[in-house]
Amino acid sequence: MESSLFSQLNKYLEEEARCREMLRECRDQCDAAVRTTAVLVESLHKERDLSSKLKALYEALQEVASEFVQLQLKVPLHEYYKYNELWRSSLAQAVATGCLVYYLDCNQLADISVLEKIFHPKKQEEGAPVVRIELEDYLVGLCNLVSELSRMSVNRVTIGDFEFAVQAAKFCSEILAGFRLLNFRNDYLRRRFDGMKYDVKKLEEVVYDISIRGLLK
Amino acid sequence: MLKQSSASYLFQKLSEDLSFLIEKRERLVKASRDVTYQSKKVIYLLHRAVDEEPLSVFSKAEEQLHTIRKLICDLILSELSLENYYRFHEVFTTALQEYTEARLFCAYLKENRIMTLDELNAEIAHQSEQPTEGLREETTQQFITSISPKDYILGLVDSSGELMRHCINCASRNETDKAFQVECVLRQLSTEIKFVGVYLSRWNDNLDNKLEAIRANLGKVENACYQLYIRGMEFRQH
Repeated sequence: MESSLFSQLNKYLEEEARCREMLRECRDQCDAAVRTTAVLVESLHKERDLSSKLKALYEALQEVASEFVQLQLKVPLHEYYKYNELWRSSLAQAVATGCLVYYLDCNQLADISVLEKIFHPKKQEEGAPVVRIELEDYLVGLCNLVSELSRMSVNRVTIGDFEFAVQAAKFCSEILAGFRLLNFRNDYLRRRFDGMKYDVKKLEEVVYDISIRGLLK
Repeated sequence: MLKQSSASYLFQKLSEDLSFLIEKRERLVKASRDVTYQSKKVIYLLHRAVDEEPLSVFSKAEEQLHTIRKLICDLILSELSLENYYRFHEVFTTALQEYTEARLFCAYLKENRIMTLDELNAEIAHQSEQPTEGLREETTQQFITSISPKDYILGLVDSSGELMRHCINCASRNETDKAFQVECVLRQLSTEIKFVGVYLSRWNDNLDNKLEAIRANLGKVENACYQLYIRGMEFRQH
C-alpha cells in the first residue's frame, strides 16, 4: 500500500479543519453582534415609547449583517452547505430580530427580500454581497420571533400596553396558520413548529385575561 | 394592519420551495438505499470467491459495481448541483461508504492493493462521461468529487471488516500466504489511519468506535495467523 494514500487524505482533512476553525472565529464575531441586538430587544419589553428604540435596533442589525457577509464571503466556493451548520442558529436569531423590528415598525411580516433591505439599507451597487438567508433559517427565525413576541406580550401588559398583546396575538396566529401550509419532514424545524402553538396559546391567554377584566377599550 | 392575504400568499410560496427540497431529499433517500443494498450484495458475492471460480466471481462483481456506479450517477449525482452536494451529503453518505467498501474489497481481492480516493472518483467520473443524454457541463464537473474524503475513510474502515472475514476464510482453508498478506495490509492500515485520526475524532459519528473496530479486526487476524503458523510448525515437526 502506498503511503500517499493517507498523506493525500491528510491534506484534504487538514484544509477542511483549518477552514472550519477560521469560519468558527468569524461566527463568534457574528454571535457577538447578535448579542448586542438581543440586549436592545430585551430593553423593548418594558419601553413605553417603542418607536424611539427602533432606530438603534436597525443600526445594530446592519452591524450583524456586515459580520455575516464577512463570514459568508470566506466560505469556499460550492461549500456553503458543508459549513452552514456553524452559523445557522445565530443567523436564525438575526432573522427573528429583523422580523421583530419590522413588525414593530410596519406591523407586517417581513419576507426574505424585506430582510435583505433591512440588513443592507444603503443602496447596494450591483452584485454587492448580501447576507444569504436560507429558507430553513428564515422559518426557524419566525419560530424564534413568535416565542419572543409571546414573552414581550406578557411584559408589555405589565406596563399597561394592552393593545400590543392583542396585535401580537393576531400577528402570531397568522404566522401559525401560515406554517400549517408547509409540509415538514421530521427535523429540527418541525419540532420548532410543534413548539410554536404553545407560544400562540400563551398570547391568546394574555388577550383573554385582559379582555375578561375589561381592560381593552 | 397586517394584510392577511400577503402573509398567506408568502407561505404558499414558501410551501412550494420547502416541498421541492423535501421531495428531492426523499428521492435521494430511495436512491441511497438502493446503492447500499446493491453494494452489500457485491460484498457477499466477493466472499464466495474463495469457494467458486474466482475469475468468474470477479467479472460478475465488476459488472455489478458498474451498475452501482450507474445508479450513483443517474439517481444521486444527477439530482445535485455543485453546491447542493454538501446540502444533502448526510442523506447519501452511507451509500457512498458502502460502495467504497465494496469497490475497495473487490480491488484488494483481485489486484491485491488498496485503491485511492482519486482512483475511485476517476472511475465514477469516467463512467459519467459515457454519453447519457442531456448531461450538463456543471454536473460532469461534480462527478470528479463524487466520493468525499470522509466517505472514503469510513468506507475504508468498513472494508477492514471484510478483509478480516476474508482472512479468517483463508486461514480455515490453510491458505497461509493469503492470510498473512491480509494481516500485513490490515496492520499498515491500522497504523496509518492514526495520521488522520486527529481529524476523525472531530466528526461526531462514533468514529472512535470505528477506529476501535479496525484494531479489533487486526487482533482477530493476528490470532488467526498465529494459529496457522503454530499448526504449520506442528506438521513440519512430525
